Amino acid sequence: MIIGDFFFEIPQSFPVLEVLSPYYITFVFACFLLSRFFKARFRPVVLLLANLLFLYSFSLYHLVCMCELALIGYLLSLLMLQKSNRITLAFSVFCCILVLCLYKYQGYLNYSLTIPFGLSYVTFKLISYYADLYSGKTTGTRNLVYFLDYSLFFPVLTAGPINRFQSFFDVISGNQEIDYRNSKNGGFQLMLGIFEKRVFCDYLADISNRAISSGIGGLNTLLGVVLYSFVIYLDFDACSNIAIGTARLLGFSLPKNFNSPYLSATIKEFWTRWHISLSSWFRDYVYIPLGGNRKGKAKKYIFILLVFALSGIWHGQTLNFLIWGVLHGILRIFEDVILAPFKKTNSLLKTIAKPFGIILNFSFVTFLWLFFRYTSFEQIANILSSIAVPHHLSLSEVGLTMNEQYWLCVVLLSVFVTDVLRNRFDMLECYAKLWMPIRWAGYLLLIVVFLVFGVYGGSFSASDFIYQYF
Amino acid sequence: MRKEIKALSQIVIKSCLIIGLLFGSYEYLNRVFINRDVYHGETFHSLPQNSMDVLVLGSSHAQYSFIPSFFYQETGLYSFVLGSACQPLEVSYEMLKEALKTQKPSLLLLEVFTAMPLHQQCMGNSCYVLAEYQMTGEEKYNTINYLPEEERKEYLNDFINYHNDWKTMTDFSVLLPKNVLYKDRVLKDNNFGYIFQAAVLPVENWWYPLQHDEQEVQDTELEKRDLESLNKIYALCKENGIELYLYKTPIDSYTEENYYHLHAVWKWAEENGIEYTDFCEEAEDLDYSLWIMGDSNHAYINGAGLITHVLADRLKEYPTKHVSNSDLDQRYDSNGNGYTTEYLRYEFNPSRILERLSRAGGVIVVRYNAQRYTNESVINGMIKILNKEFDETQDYYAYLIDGRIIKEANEPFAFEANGHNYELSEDDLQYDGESTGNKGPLSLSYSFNDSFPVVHNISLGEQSWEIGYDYYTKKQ
Repeated sequence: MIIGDFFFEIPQSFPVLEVLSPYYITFVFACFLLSRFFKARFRPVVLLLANLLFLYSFSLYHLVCMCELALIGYLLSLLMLQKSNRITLAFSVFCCILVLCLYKYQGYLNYSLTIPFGLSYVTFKLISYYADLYSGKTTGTRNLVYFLDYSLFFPVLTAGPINRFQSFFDVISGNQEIDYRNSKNGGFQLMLGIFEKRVFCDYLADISNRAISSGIGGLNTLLGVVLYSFVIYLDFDACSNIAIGTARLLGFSLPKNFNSPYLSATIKEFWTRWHISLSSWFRDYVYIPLGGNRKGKAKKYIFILLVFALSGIWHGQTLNFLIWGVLHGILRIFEDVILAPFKKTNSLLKTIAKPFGIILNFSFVTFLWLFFRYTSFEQIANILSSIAVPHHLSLSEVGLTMNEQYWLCVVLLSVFVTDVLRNRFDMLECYAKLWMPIRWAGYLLLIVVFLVFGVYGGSFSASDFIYQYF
Repeated sequence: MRKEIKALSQIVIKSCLIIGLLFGSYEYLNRVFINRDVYHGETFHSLPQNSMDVLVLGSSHAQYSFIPSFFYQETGLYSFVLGSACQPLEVSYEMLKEALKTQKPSLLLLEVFTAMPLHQQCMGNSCYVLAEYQMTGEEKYNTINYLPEEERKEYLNDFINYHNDWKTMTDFSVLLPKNVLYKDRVLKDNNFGYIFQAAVLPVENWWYPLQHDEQEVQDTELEKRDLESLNKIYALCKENGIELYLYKTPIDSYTEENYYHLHAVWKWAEENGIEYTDFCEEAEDLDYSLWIMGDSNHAYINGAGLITHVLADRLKEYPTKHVSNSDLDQRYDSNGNGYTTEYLRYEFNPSRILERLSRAGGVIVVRYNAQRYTNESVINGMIKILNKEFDETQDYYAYLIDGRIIKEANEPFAFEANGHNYELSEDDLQYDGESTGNKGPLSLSYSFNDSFPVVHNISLGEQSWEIGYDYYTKKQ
């Protein structure tokens, strides 16, 4: 048992640095300025202090637990650097998974522990680090500060993305010269993430809940279910934008985590666009090491099923998550089998079929999100039978005023348009090139929209990020 | 290095500009998305400085019970109610400090409901909204600090609570700069803190005699925080030369525990030589049962009129440093006249009708059929309205505007007033060709501006005058 579990919380007056709070923005900005105040060789120390302070703001317990985990991880990394072979790799990975399982699946082991903040993501980062050390993709580091900075990098602790060691190391060990455009875009991306969460995501979440709980059924319930797909996407995308924006502001580059996933025509494509850092992690550290598609079709499908099952149980320890993962795996396999003959179809036919593919794929994914949202099959069955009730769409009956309905259309249109556009362009760069008055008018508009339409204040209990619980 | 400093300064400057845009937008929108309820426009500090003679502080019991316009009509003094739902005494203290920034009242009327255990059932916390809208500085901070921590930030600014009003907004002109960026906040209506409640059919006989233990009355002490607040209020009044007067409006649910606590307040008052009125004790005599709301804690216009009238009677001898202000005179008067319409609509006690009419403006029409016998109360009442001798042996028809007789005769006549045609007959009054239902031997009608006349057909029997009308009073 890890010592930190017995550490009692000490009352503190430092505000909790929740990602959606003004304290977080102030904290990030202060880190940025402070890191620039010092020479490059001291910046890793500044970053480490920031990482520790971030954890401390949640409680001393989280700070101590994560530091213990990171230190154990460091010792294991020294072991790997000393002797990099399959045994040390297996041992290191086993230790990480053991810690993760001890906390996440404690329900099956009959004890109760608070899961340290960021545990899942830190564990995956450590595993990727050991694997990269073993495969030679990185030379690693003996520098404790660099290692701790990588492990406990605060922008990604909440909900990823899972960043790889080498790209992080290249920045932290280098000169870290400030790039004005990059930092500015990072700050803007951070703000846009908060905007996306508060204005789009939480609003759609409210409408979705109201549509489903109204009990009217039919298209109203269907609308609620469809909106939930957008909610989960926007929630996670917002969190990723905040993380990537924060990292960018501090001079680090994180991988893109979403690439307009609902514009995918197949499940395979979907998983190259959704939670990219996690799916690429599973691909690189589970699927490919197992053998990938090099050991025949049967084994390939088994590996795919295994990867999706693991992904499912990573998300949550209840059966519904496992089923969600397995169903995705089955769909993926089914698609591979069904679409194999069409691989050589001409591109015009593919272009014509693509919109149908997008709609079909979106429908499957939306249906599968029900397993994500509801823990019991009874609830899912109730939702499905509610959808089957013949009832026209009536937002007024659901309780939406005319203004709310108009705003719902605006939000959905905005989400769709921005998704399509950023699929093709670097929107932040394009925006940065606009004529200055237009840019500032845009900032003003975003501020006003956020203030008026943002979901906060007495009437709402704003939702946390969904993915911070995984 | 230079490049780095330049990049850093650009980021810092632009961040400051963004923050400036944020606060500027917030400040602008904060004037749009506000509590548009009773507090909108009731900006106390926009009153002429040092003009108020009487300040009323307290809970909603004060807000519903004291009509500054009626008080003015009865005493000529200017008053304002700085009350809010469930306002604790400690907040009343902060309100007093806030008020003293721009006013120097001679008299403070403190309503003491929140010293009673019953106030713990109170659900409202609109005093914190009031604090946001009308208070500044330390007083505002102290007021909001009384809230539990998790609720505080919501009251630091209206906008947090009301920005969701966009969902139901239909009039988008409120967003226009001309409607938002006004220089000085102007007192927009003339309620002066009073919350008007129209009367509906009165409740059944609700008053009950209390059994109480004299020893308990002696032994019950004030809650420590209430005692502290009362002492602080008293000390501040003394420091500023303000007379303190306490009162409690009638309430139902007057359990023994509440009785004892209220009397603990009165004990404190007596110890400090402070005058007070306990309307709970006097409610029966005032026939107050007629004029309470469904929750039996708050008054309708008529109950408020009663309370105000009694307080006006008792307070008019208090010395004040009243300075006339024609604008305020006009506001108090016109509002008082407006309320009188509502008041008279449901007033059934003939004495109170006559009393109220004697102070009312607007158009009053009198139709009287001569009687062989009539009671002295009628005669005295009519003298009060007409401000001259009244001959009950003759038919009498008259109309008054703003208290002055414009025309009177012993025969019916027609006339025009405020753009409307009135036609008197022996047994009716027509208003723009429509009968007003003006019947009986004595009929008084009243209208203010363009309102359809409120008519009271008054019985001249002595019994009615003694006990009020049948069915509407408990004294049968």
